[in-house]
Amino acid sequence: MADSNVSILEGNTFVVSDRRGDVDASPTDTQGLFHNDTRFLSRWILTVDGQRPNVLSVDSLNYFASQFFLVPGTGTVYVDSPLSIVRQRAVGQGFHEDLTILNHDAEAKDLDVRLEADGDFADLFEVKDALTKKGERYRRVEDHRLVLGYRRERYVRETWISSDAGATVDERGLRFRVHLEPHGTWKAGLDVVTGVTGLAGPPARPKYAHGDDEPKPNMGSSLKEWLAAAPKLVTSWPRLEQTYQRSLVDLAALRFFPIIAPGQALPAAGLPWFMAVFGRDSLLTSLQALPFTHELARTTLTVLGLRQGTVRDDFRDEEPGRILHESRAGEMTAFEERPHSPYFGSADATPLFLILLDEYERWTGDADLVRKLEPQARAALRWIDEWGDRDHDGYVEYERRNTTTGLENQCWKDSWNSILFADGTLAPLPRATCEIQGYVYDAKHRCARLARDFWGDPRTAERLTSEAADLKRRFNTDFWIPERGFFALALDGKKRKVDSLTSNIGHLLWSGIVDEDKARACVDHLLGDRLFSGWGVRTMAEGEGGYNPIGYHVGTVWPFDSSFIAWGLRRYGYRKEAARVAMGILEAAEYFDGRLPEAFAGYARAETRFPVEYPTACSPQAWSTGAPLLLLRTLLGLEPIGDNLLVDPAVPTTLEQLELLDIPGRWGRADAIGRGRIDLGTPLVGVAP
Amino acid sequence: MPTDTARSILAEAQSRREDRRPDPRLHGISGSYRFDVEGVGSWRLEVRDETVAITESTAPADCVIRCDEADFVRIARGEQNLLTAALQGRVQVEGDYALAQRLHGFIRVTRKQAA
Repeated sequence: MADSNVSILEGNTFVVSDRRGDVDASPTDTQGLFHNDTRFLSRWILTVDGQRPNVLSVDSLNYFASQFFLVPGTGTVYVDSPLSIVRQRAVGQGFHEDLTILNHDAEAKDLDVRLEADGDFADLFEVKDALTKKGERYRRVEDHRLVLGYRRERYVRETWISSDAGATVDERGLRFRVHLEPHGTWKAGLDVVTGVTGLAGPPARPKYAHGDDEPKPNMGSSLKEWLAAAPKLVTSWPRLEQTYQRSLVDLAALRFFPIIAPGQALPAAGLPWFMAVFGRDSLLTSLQALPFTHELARTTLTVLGLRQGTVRDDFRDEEPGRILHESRAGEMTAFEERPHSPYFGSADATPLFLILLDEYERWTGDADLVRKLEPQARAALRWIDEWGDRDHDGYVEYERRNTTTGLENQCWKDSWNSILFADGTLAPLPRATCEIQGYVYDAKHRCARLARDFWGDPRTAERLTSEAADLKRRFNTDFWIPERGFFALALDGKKRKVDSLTSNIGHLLWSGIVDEDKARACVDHLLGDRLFSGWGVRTMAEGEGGYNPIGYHVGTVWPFDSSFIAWGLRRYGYRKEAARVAMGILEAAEYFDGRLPEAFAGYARAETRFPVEYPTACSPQAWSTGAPLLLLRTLLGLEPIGDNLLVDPAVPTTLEQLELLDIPGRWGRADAIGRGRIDLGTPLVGVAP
Repeated sequence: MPTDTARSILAEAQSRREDRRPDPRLHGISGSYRFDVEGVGSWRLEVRDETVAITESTAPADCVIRCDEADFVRIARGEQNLLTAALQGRVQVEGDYALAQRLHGFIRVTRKQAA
């Protein structure tokens, strides 16, 4: 997204405009009012006396509201303007805009104020891929309201635009004949409402009206309450507090309120393209956020459990017990030109679902949910053995059945060229990536506990424990590359070891599948110059055939990836190394005002001295937002043990004080106090002042 | 083979369910559905304790699904996905969306049992 764009959002409704507040989208442009993966407004342009105003400043008041301060365009260099124009916009069920014009002059003014409007009703997939529409667009004026519409068979989407200030409405927009007395003020409220057939009828009004400045989330907890309920961070590093606050606010903004779970929120994946339920992203973000909020995990588990796969459906890559990958609601999904209703092509979401279920219980003690989701958990375990392991070699591998619109890579590194041999050649399908085997190991290990303690099924517990042990034994032989001292990225379709050195080995530490005698070698690689950039762990090591410091999954640093790696380092007792990775990412966050991007370039910190943002990254991205939270957990060594919270800080000396107060859990609230004790050695370059 | 109608499909499902044997595949679904098939009639499905009771009725239900007969038959046969039908505007869903979501699996369960 271009820096000149301004985004506000609520759930799966968002507005992307320029700094004037205007929307002027080309077919491939990201500007617009989007709702349910559809662009309801592609043009929204304000003119005063035929001129587009110039921008003075823009304020993002909140994640759902922004205001634009403008002066009339002169067509020449800036001259003092006798008029000010203020646009205040709040998104939710469309948006509400307050348009105010102030006359600073001693003379009265008459103005021709116009808002031009149009909707192309593009599906987000069409915006991304520049596809053309199959239905017809229409526009009409009714009851002083402009209706922009799109119809394809019985699929109808409409945008209703109206004003409370006596506009003249035509099929291209709204016009106001404005008379301003000397030093006078004129105001107009504009409502833009989105209408969808099939599901609930369109709301008659936008969610926000004139003067509303408090969030009205689709749940009980407002932003204020959300922030008040989160643990308090006290630290000698003020910029870390800023990062923490930014993460909490962004996580609130990324809350998605699925229609099938009224009043409950789960994390969507990212703005603007990924305001949707994603299995993997929602699960990993919920895991990162567990020490801070339980709601996201509870809703994620409930919603993903509700729409677990039931049958084999090759179009959707659905299989019984499989946890979904992505759910969409745009036109291409509706007409089954894309498989996202929902699409199931993810090989890791199913074991991650089981991991989150156990971790959620460990933090909350919510045994009811573990019992309620027992059938889903058992179905997920069956999927791993019967469907995930396609050729019954004891490992989960993936290959899409939907060869047209399905995903080739069904692991988190889901770009087409992410799974490469050391010589840079592509690994043939089906692929069994290493971290998925780690997740399966962890999932079985954890579900053994759930079966024994909650499902009253010690036999299943015993079987899962034994299967996990067997998997660990085989994995440490079949994936280990002795001559290079690390685990293969994957086994390819011919069961060959895909021998690139990648960050995936860090996820193996998190899962616990690594034999103790192989952990040191993995740690040395993860913190070595080839993988560790100084800011974080590169997705692929420098020097590998496919390495590219600005390649999406073959050299960039992903904050979320590093956060799980740091957790893995702690799991194996590498406190100092975990602290080093954690500090690298948290220091990088300073360069982004506390909002970590999805990825940044893999350039060495010593060379660039600042982290270089990956060009097309979404922001905020849920699991990047969650990364600082998991890193705080890692630095403080937070682990629920029975009904207590174990705190075992490993805080670097550069950070004198790190305290997290009122951590919610089955213990009520607990405090974690850390003092800088770990010497990380020579200070790294590029630490922000 | 005679052409399926909404009435024939529901009558068949009704007779199949008369013994009310619990079906573990219905575990976790609890609530009532009503299908309003335009120009044909309304049927209520009560799902409790892994059993289904089907009656021709216009009584209120937790989740109401309204569509024409052709779409009903396609959905009941598992040829049309319920969610994409709703997104296309061919089916109106009101009430408990979570139940509607579960119906997806439930329809297929019914169909599988018929096979």
